[in-house]
Amino acid sequence: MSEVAVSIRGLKKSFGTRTILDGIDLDIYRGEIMYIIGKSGSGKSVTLKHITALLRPDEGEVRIHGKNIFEMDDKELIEVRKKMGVLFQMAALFDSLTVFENVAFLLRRFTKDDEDTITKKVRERLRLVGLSHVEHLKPADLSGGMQKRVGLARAIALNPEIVLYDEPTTGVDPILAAAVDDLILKLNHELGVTSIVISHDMESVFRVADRVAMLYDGQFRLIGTPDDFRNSQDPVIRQFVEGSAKGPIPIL
Amino acid sequence: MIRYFHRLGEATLSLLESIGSFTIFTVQTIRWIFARPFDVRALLYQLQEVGVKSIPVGTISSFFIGMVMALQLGVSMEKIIQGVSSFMGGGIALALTRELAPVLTAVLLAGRVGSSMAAEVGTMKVTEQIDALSTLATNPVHYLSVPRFLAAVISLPLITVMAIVLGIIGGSIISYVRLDIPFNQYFETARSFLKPEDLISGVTKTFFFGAEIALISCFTGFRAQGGAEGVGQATIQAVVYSFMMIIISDYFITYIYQLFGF
Repeated sequence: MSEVAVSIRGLKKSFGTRTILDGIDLDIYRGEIMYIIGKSGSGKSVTLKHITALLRPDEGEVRIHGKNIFEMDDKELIEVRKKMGVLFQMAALFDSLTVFENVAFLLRRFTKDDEDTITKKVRERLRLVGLSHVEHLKPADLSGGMQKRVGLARAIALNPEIVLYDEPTTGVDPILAAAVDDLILKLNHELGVTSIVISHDMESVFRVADRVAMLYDGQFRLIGTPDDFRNSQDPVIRQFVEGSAKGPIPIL
Repeated sequence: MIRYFHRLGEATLSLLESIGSFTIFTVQTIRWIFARPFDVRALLYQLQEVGVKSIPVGTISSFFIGMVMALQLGVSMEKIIQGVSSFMGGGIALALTRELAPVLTAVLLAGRVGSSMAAEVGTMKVTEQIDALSTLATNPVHYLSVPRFLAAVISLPLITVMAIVLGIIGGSIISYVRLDIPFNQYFETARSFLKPEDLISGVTKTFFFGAEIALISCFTGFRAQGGAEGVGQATIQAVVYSFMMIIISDYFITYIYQLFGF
């Protein structure tokens, strides 16, 4: 097996009396596309926020390339985060900055590139996500789908080794959803990144994922290939894969 | 009955928690001032927003405060002791320098700048832009709080000095027009009443006011949650707490200054 990029061990998190993550373990290998699925509120986003150290766990650890991110000081964390790109669900573009400034954010802050080089790199990143002639616009002038692409261009500006996607196909039309899937594959192949995708879009899972982990009741119910999920006899998995309202998973 | 004690306990805990978090936030902001990269562009932008754009509000208001003081003081003093209004310049200069201009400017800035800081940072919080900053290897306190803090701490004393000057001029015009006090007499008494320590006392305390406004407003913004309503709440809190802190701390700072002879 290839090298482990992200390793989650015994991760526990509660908010008040609600336990969201009840000791989860997961290894994500370098270069693979890992989908974390589950119904709304099952803790997918909370898991992602732990991998990016936006939240601190009650117990457990997340190791990125072998180092526990919760034991790092500010400096080490900054170095790790430079190697990670995150696409937020609503893109979370800086609305006071233009598209160009958003994508150039990391380049301006962490490289000594001159303006010409930055301009070249920003255009190249935007082209990679299929956008051109939008550099001077503000995020508010863009459609939701375009915002997501700009968000992705911003996330990959510094050639990260790991890219995390928070529900990339939620709230976009089917054609754009397919385009986003293609983008995830393309980045994975062209830049060789490790991809972690939070999703509940099963079509996207079967189209893109190398492996899938399903969160249910604060635990991973199944970690396996898309085929494992297709062939699973577990009624919980069956219900989720088939998208049925009837089954063991409570709707509310 | 027990329910009330329960609520009282909860309120106390939440207050203590807020004070603790605010203290940590203050320490973090001050610590991050000295961290690289030093964002000159953001600081200049904030100086423009917080400082330059507040000059009209600060100076015009102070100009009218000087005028209304001349009107009130002059007319009521003359009723009691004839001729006492010849000391008008000194009275107005002293009151403006030590107390009125610093507090008035701070309160105006809290309204104008504090609200916008809280709303801006709060909106960034609820739209995940602050999380995005973190994942872009950028400490949100460093990026958002530090330039606003520095801009407020630099701008407020400067605007206060302008406010003092404009207020004294405003007072001189009304003293001349309504009370026939010649300009040279007005400015002569102002000069002889006013000591350097008055200016030091008045202007230096605005450093603290500026720090309070920026820290409270950024802090409430960072704690905003739950969409538009949360941003509204954060904005209200920023303005109300800034007002209160300015006035409460004004007393204590003045008290401490007086112990040292200012």
